[in-house]
Parts: sequence; structure tokens; C-alpha cells
Amino acid sequence: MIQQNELIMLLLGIGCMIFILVNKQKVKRVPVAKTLIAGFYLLLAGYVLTVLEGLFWKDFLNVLEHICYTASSILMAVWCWKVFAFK
Amino acid sequence: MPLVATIDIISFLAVIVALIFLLRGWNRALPPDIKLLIVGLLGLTLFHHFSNILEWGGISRALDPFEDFLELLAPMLWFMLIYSYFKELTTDDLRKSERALRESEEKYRLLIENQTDMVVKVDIEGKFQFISPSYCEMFGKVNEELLGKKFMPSVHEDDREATAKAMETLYRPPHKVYVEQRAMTKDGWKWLSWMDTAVLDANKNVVGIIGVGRDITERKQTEKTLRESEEKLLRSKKMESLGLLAGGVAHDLNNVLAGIVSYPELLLMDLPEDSNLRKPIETMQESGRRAAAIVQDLLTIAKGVAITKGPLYLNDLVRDYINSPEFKKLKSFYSTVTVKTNLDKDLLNINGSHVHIRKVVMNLVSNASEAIEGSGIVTISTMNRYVARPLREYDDVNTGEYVVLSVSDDGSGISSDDLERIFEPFYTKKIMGRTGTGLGLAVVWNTIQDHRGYIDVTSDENGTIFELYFPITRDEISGKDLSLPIKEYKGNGEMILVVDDVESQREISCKMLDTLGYSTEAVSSGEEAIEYLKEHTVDLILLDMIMDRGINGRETYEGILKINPNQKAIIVSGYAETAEVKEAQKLGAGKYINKPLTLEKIGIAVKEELGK
Repeated sequence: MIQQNELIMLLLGIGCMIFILVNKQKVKRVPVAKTLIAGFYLLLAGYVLTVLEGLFWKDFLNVLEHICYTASSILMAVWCWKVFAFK
Repeated sequence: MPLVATIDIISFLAVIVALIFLLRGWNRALPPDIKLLIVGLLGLTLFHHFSNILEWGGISRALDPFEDFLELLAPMLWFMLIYSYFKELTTDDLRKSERALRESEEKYRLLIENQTDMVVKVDIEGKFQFISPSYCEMFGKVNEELLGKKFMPSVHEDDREATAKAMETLYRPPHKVYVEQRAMTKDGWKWLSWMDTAVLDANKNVVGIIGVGRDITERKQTEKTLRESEEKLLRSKKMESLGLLAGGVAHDLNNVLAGIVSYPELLLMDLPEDSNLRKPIETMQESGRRAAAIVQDLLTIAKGVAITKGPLYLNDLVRDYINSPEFKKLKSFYSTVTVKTNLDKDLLNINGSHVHIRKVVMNLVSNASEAIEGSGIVTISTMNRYVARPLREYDDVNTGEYVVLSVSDDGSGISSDDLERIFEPFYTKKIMGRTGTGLGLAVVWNTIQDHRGYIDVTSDENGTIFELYFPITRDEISGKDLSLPIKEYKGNGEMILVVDDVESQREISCKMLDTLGYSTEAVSSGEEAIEYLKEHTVDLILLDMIMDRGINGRETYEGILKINPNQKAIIVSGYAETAEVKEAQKLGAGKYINKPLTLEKIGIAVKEELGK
């Protein structure tokens, strides 16, 4: 079953993605942009999977969702490492 | 432990690591709001994973109510993070653009403010819209005084039309024009050059003009000086070539005149006092003398004029002229003209030829008198003058000590066109043959050149002033020209060889010398003279310097000296005294006398040479 807050999260995430796509050239100039944007897209994939798991393949998609979140967190850590740890 | 829980623990640890990196690098140059957003985002993620771990571990579900709410914040924080970056980059771009613009403005401002060339922008009406500091400096005004004002009033009246025409051409391709104009600057009138370029709008209409100007006063001055020097050089060359021409003509005329001047003198000696022929012969003699005087003028303007120079006191010369019959005749002709003298009592001597400078004074006073219509005053002045720096006058006067002879009149003046040509031979405004030959001022010019002096002429409607600069000499005047009665230079039968290529000249010379009591022989060339002297001896040789055939007088004398090293000779020539004459004199030849010969001239010269 699809929860309301999951749908809102997804919509907000899609809105954010549209903003990124529209301002693609400028967003590219964010330090280590590829890692950060990849982290966001993985998070967004997690939101999509969260919504989808309410419809079918609940367990499988749930695992995938968590994997996406983890990958997103790791990329975030890499991004922080590259941005803040490197001089 | 379920797989999902393991994944969440990994995520949890990853977020912890990210936070550690973030905190360690907190001082990095990132905007604080971005840093806070990252902290928030990581905190939220941490909370999410922590809640999951607690849930999967069965420890607590107490955080679940918060999780649903906080999870909503995650995409919002992401958006805010990206948006903050976006805003930051936009601001950064703007800052960069502003900085680039500022740098560009600074660069051009520095260029404009530090260049000596002037830069202005005017609208199509010629009103200033922009003025560079160099322009303000040049015109001694501030920006505010000029902005909105028209530039044309500062342009010289004579250059306004040309400037306006130049501006009109800006409306046609290539929309550029170069113009030179005089403008009233803070230092007076200056020559400025402008390279003007039209400012065009999108429709190719002229909306303004940008001008880059430069002070070219110095260049103009140099050009003017160069032009004047060229003109002076040209004039000098012209005078030189005319002098050469005059010299050539004079030589031939001298030979022609010899018969007219010399024979009447001899004829008159033989004629009885009551002879009817005496009057016509005297008339012939006088005409011949007048013609000879003209020829002498021609010789004076010929290059290398025969001048015997010596220390001379100009005041005496002027007084001598004022008391002369020529002056009295002039006075009677121009009775309404008053001639005044203003002579410096402390005048220094000059090194000059009395005869020639007297002629100069005579010509100038004559011209000045003639220039006065009705009554007027001619003033003859002398003065010492020290020229401390070169003067750019009619002639360029070098530094030095000079005696200046000035002849001024209050006549109607000389036009500037005539002023350029007055010293040319035969250039006259008088009626040729009646009042002048056109040689008077040419004689003046050449005499001054031969005295290494300078001429300055200034003329306007109030009169004309001729100033002649003669270099001074510290030498004292030692003696005067001799003037002997005929008996003093009669000969005693001494043998004289006449060498001349012109038969009539040989005849005249022999006749004169015979009359003076000498014995004569004549030959027609230098080669003949040398041959003659191999077998004969003579007391003196009367040697013509220029002979058409064979060797000249100097070469002849050289050849003769090989036969008789002590041979006396005097030089005769229809030309002016040349380098060849001087060379012959260095070899030992005596006095130089110019044709046409007179009894007195030839008699004195021969007597002097024989007496050595």
C-alpha cells in the first residue's frame, strides 16, 4: 500500500531532479558534482522503490530501496571526503 | 541479522564518516548555509538509518512517528542544497562579471588617463560627451566646463571650414577622417591632429564621433623650418646658377667692350684738342664705360667675385658716399626725399671691399629713394650687434659679432611675393633700361655673400628695412688705395710679353703698353709663350688666365717658371678672380687685373710688379 508521505517525498524528489536537469550546466560546476548528483539520483531511486514496494515485490524492492539509500550515503561520504578532506 | 539491517548499518557508518569529513573540513571556503544544509541532510539520513537499525533490532519503534515527518524533509533539503549552490554560483558569476567589467573599465581608464594623446567623444552636433584628462590638461579646463559644450569655438577661425568639411566625410564610409587644425589651448594656438571615427548605431546611422588628437605643433614648426631652409637653398642655388650665367656673359661682353673702352682712350691721346672727332669719341668712351659698369655688376654677382678685402670703417664709407657726386645726382633726382644718417660712433671695423660695399649702399639708397612716392625719409644707420643665438630671418643669421648696415625707407613697402625674388638678377619692378637693370639688389646679395654676411629684409605698408650683417674684424685700417698720376706709372722700355688668345685683346694690351713706354711682344697661347721664352727673355708677362685653346694661364706660368724661375707676371682675366688665379699668384705671379683694361689699371699693375 502506498503511503501518503512516500508519495510526497517522491514528488519533492522529482521536483528537485527537474531543477537539476534544467540547471544542468550550472549544477555541473558544484564541486565534485557527479558524485553529489549520483548520490541524489540514488536517493531518488530509493524513493521510487519505496513507492513501488507498496504495489508489488515488497521484500525485494525494499532491499533494493535500502541498497539505494546506502549507496547514496556512501556517495555522500565520498563527496564530503573529496570536498572537505582534500586541500 | 537481516540483510536490510546490515545495509542500514553500513549506511549509518557511511553517514558518520561523511559527518567526520565535514567537521574536519569545516573551515573550507564554502558558504555557511551550504555547510548547514549538508549537516542537516546528513543528520536526517543518520536519523533515518538509526531509526531503521533500532526498528530492525527490535529495540524501539519510538522514533517512527518522527521518521515519517523527517523523511519528508530529505528531498527538501536536497533541493535547498542544490538551489543554494545554484544561487551561490549565480552570485559568483555575477561577482566575476562585475570584477571583469571593473578590471576592463580600469584598464581603459588607465589607458585613457595615462596617454598623452587626447580622446574625446562628441555627438553629431559637436558637443562633448566624453573628454580625456589629457584634453582637459591641454585646454586648461575641467571636465564639467566642457561637457555639453561644442568644440568648434576653440578651433582657429581659418581652420573651421576645413574641420567642418572633414566632419561631413564621417557620414560616408569608411567613416574615418584625419584633420589638422589649430586650436586655442591654455598655452595659446597649437596645431592638433585628429583621427576621427564615426560611432554608428545598428542602422549605420552616425550617432557620435570619437576623436583621438595629438599636439603636432613641434612637427609643424619643424616642417616650416625645413620648408624655409629648402626655399633658401633653392634661392641660393638659383642665385648661384644665375651668377655663373652672368659671369659667362660678362666675360664675353668684356672682350667685346675692350675695343669700345680702350681704343677711344688711345685715340684721344693722339687727337688734337680741337678735333671734331673728339666729342663723338668721348661719347663712345662714356658709353663703353657705362656698359663696362654693367658688366662689372654682372661680375659682382658672378660666383667667386674678384674682391680685394681689407679692414673697413663703414661710417667712413657711408660719409664718403653721402659726399659723392653719385649721391648728389640721386638727391637732385629725388628732391623730395630726405636722406638721414644715424651712425654708431663706436662702430667696429669689418673686413670688406670698399668698392663693393659702396656700391651696395648706393644701390640700397637708390632703391629706397625710388620706393618713396612724394616726400619721405631714407635712413642709413650703422650699429654693432651681437647675435647670441641664430636668427631665423630672411637669411639665417649665425651667432657672432656683426656690424649692421641698415637702410630704411618709409615708402609703400614690398609685397611678400616680390620679397621672395628681389635679389634675383634681372628681377625688377622698374622699367628696364630706364630706371634700373634688375642687377642692383643682386649685386647687394652677392656682395653680402662674398663678405660672409647676412641680409634681413622686413617690409610692410609703412616702409622697408634692409639690414646687412657684416662680421666684424679687430684689424686696424692700414692704408688707402693709391691713385697715381700717369707719369708715375710710365715705363722705360722694359720688355713685356702679352699672352692672350683674343687678337683684339692682344692688340689693345700692346697698344696701351706701347703708349706707356714699354716694348711689347704678343703670342696667342700658353704653349707659344713657353716656346717664345725658351729663346727670349722678357721683364714681365701680361698673362690672360682663361684661354679657349690649349693650356690656361696658371699652367702657362708653371711652364714658364721651369725655364725662368724668377719670371715676373701679372694676371689678366675677363672672369672674376678664380681659384686658378690664386694658384698662379701662389706660384709667384703678381697682381690680378680684370678686363676691360684701362691705362691706369694696367700701368699701375705693371709698374708695381716691375718694381718688386
